[in-house]
Amino acid sequence: MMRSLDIRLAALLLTLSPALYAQAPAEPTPPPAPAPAAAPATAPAPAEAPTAAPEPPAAAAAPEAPAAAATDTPTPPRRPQHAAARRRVAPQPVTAQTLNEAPSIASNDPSIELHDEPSEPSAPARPIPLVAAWLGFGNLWIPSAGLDPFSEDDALTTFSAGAGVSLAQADALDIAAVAGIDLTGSDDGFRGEATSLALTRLSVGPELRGSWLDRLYWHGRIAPTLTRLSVELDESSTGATLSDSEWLWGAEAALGLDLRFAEAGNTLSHALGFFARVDAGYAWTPGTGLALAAEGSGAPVRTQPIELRELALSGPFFRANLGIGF
Amino acid sequence: MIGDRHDRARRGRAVLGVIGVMALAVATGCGGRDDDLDAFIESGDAVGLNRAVAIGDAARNRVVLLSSESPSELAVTPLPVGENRLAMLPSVDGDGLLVLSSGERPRRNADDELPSLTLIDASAEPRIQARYPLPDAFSTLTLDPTGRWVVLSGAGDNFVSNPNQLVLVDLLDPDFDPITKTIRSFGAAPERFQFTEPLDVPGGERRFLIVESRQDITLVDLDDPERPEITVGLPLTPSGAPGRPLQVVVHPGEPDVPEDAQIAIRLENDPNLVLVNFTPAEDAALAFNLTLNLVDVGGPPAAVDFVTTDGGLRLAAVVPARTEANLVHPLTTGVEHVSLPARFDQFRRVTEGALADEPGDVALLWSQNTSMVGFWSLGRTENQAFRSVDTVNLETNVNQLFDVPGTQLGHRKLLQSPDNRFFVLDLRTRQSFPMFASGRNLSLRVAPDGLRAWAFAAGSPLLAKVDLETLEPTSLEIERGISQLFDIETQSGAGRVLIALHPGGGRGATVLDAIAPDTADSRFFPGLLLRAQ
Repeated sequence: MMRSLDIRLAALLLTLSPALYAQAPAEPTPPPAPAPAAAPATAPAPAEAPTAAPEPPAAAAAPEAPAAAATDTPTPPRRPQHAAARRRVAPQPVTAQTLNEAPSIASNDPSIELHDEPSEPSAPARPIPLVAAWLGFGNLWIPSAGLDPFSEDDALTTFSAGAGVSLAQADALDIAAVAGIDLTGSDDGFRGEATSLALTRLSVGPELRGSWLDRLYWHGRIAPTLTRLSVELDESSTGATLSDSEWLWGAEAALGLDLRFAEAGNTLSHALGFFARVDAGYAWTPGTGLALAAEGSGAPVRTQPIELRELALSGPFFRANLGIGF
Repeated sequence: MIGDRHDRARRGRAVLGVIGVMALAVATGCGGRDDDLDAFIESGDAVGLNRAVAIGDAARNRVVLLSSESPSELAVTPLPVGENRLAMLPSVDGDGLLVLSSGERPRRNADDELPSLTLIDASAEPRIQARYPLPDAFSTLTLDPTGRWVVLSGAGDNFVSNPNQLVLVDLLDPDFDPITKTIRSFGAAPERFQFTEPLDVPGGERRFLIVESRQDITLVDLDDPERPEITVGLPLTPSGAPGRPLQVVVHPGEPDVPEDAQIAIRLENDPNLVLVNFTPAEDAALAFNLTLNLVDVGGPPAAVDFVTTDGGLRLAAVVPARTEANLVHPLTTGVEHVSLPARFDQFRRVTEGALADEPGDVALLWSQNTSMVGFWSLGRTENQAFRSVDTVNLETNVNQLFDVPGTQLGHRKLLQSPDNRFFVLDLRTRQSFPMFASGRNLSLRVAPDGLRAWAFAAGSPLLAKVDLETLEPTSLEIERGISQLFDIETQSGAGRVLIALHPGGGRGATVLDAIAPDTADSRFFPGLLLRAQ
């Protein structure tokens, strides 16, 4: 049952990955038409946009990439910019003055009709997205002896997914609320009796993020978890399936990296960023005794549960995800 | 510039830190599972004790004991025993379990396990009472009826073995160092062992271990096992073949007659019985001498035993070839012939606990070749031996006889026939009460308290309780097929539970109240060998 889930997830990712690669080439090619206009438009921007005045360097940096690509104007050496600082730039590089100048350019080219004017490009993707979602695979390592009847080894491959929303920023740091889910399962045998285990772990908690490079930021998270554990045993003497399910509270802590490898322009203020996200950490869930009962399975009446060794779903984990963020 | 390098170095360390955490996670998380979880589950028979049922779990070198405090409970207690279990036997009193193991083979390291004998006490909370390391692996164990001694023999699968080697273990001493003894060989090896009760012999009462070989018997003094054993060569049969003992019976001696213990031996294809008497030895180094007398009973006897008749002690022998029984005077060797109404070949003295109020012994006679069962009243043999045998016609053969323990209903016996019938035989009224079972493969068990019997068919969910007092059967049907049935006492001793074991998987059991069984109140315990301790 769990293996079939893995296969479906693999198929989902295989389906998703060509779409991601297909969008990737769009990133380095800014729309050529507005590029010359953008360069002169940046200079008066502080004057025309008073809201950006407290942070003029950031305001100047926002349209920097397309301008550099389109002109030979020497530019000063580029300094590393922290993501939070850049995100506080006025979100729209197309100012009122820019809009006023654009028709004059268009009027000089009779081949271009006004109503066919290409839309303004969105700004580059945020180094730390405001909103992001991801999915991928991972591994849980559960060294508990209680897992042994259900798994050949201590490692369980997981399907993982998550989403985060930025709550606040300060300099290079960002705090987000992140929700995640890990799904895993295993089929095995216990002294000749078929067994299976299914595990769903939900987590919701704050995540601290910090930008290192334009495309790379780290994250760290401590979150409470809620785990749904379901185990089954096909028992021969009863000819029935005995099972047990429990909800378990716990906590997890993780550290990881997010690397934006592609972005795609759109009608929004910033490009969508596609990123790879890896994290590793430790999840703790208190041990629980398993009592496999036979309710409704066709077993003899008053079948008593089989008590197995305590299963503690604690251990390190690793996740590798692909995501999209804005 | 310097600031950038610092930043890069810090980031590099952070990245390495994250990678390190991942590597640590992998390193600490990896691990295979215990081989025990893939161990096969053997289908061997369980052993019933007074207060527990023992299931062997060879693949995990353990014995799992099932005990119960009430019909709604079942405690599972696994206990480790030696590796490579060879035999498992209940102790004489039913409270213990003996497990013989050959140990780890080949033995590569100093801490690899040696052959051993494990004694488990299951009279209360099951525990290992003693473990006796053995010098070599043995394949058979024979118990002393008093529960003190056990003798180990048989070479098992040793590369070199000494067939005349015996190991004696005193089960009353947990720290006993097993005694190894090699008996003298005259060309034959031990085949059977028998512990005697204390025999009144010259020099005082002694207990012996009688070792039967193909052509002789040997007496080992259990009160002084280091003392040289005594070997008795058996006479040749009329055909000239060495006398091969088939049965050895012992009379410990009359209370009022000194030094009168006797041994009688039945030989293969020999109409002669061998009577062995203990006589004082002239050699001071020896406590006694043994003298042999041969008594011709007219044909090869099928069964012999010492019995008490109204005329005194006799040696009774059933001779099917002549359809008669013989009473042999142990001192004069005079023979009294008793004609039998059928060709009986099985004979058992049933007095103990059954008919103590009657003068003399009562013996039961039966055979697989006749539908009749005979009651031999040995208290009225003098001058009317021909009247001493009464018969009951069961109209079927008898292939198995079950004793009823205890004194309350000990006068009743169960006789099983091959056609799925069984009979409750009352020795006092000389009556039989037939019971018919509808299924095949009928199996019978008599409860250790002697108050009821259980009938079941292996593989079938059907079973029945027969009250041995009222002879009222109670038929039951549980939800899974039965492989074995055990009527055991609860841990507190206040009640009794019936444990029906089911085959397959991790072994399951249905538990009922043995005294008032009701399937509407049964409990099913699956996966007995899968449970955590």
